[in-house]
Amino acid sequence: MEENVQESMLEMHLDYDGGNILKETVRWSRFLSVVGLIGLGVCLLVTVLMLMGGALLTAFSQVMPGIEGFAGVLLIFCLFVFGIVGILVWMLYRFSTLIRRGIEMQDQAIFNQGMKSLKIYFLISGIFAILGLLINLISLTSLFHP
Amino acid sequence: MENQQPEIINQLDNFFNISFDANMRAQIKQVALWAKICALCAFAGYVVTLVVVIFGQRDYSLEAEGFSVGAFLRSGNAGGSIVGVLVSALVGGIINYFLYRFAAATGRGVESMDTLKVNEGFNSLRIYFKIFGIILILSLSLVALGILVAIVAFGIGR
Repeated sequence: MEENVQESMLEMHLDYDGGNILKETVRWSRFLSVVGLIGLGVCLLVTVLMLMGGALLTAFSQVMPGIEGFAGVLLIFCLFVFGIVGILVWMLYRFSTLIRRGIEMQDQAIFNQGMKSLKIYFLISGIFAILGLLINLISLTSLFHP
Repeated sequence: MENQQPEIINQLDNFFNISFDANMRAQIKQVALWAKICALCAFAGYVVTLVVVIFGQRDYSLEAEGFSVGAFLRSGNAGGSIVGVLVSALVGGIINYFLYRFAAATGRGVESMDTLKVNEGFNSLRIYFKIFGIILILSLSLVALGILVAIVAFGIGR
């Protein structure tokens, strides 16, 4: 029992300032995630409507001729992109709500789950950052080898 | 009476009864690592984009928020696009600087068990999200203004 108390004393604790900083952080991240979720919903709706109307296929066929026959592939690609962005925004939303609830309810488990969501958010962002950098590097090589 | 002062400070210090245990510290380290990767990739992306634009490539992708958001600028006017990319790189650089600061300070704080450093890191994360939020508000306001202008122009045209 005494050991546990000593361990708890030695551990780092979230102090008053840290709690306030985190509360403000999650306020902004929640705003971003809610706007992101709404924006994603609107984009999904517009994409489905455009695919149904054929406008998206016409636009894509100007960049990539012959894509008209691959409407299904395009739809799957769009859904894949929306899925990934959706997971990203959802993780940010989970981080915001769980961290806030964890602080308010003084619940370590909920707080840990919130931090886990932030980890997944940055993990997915990091993977896409690496991919984005690779694409940029490819565009750099095309500059020297036209 | 004399003993009351430290007790109050102690209560304030443990106002939030949440601890950074070993599991939590490992998670924060992972968060810091991936956040650092995001920031460094973004910085490298800005440099590559600037090189591509300055050396006369017409199409270039614009890196924002650490990963390419698919913004694809097609430049008709090279000078204007260089200015555009410079502004984007500047704004993105400032945002990602705070992300890097978050990653560095939090990682260091967790390793040295320094709560102040961890708080400093979370403060940088707060600024990072805040700048993003303000940019989002400005962008949404511009979109709303554009829609309003379009509706008014359409009304006058009819």
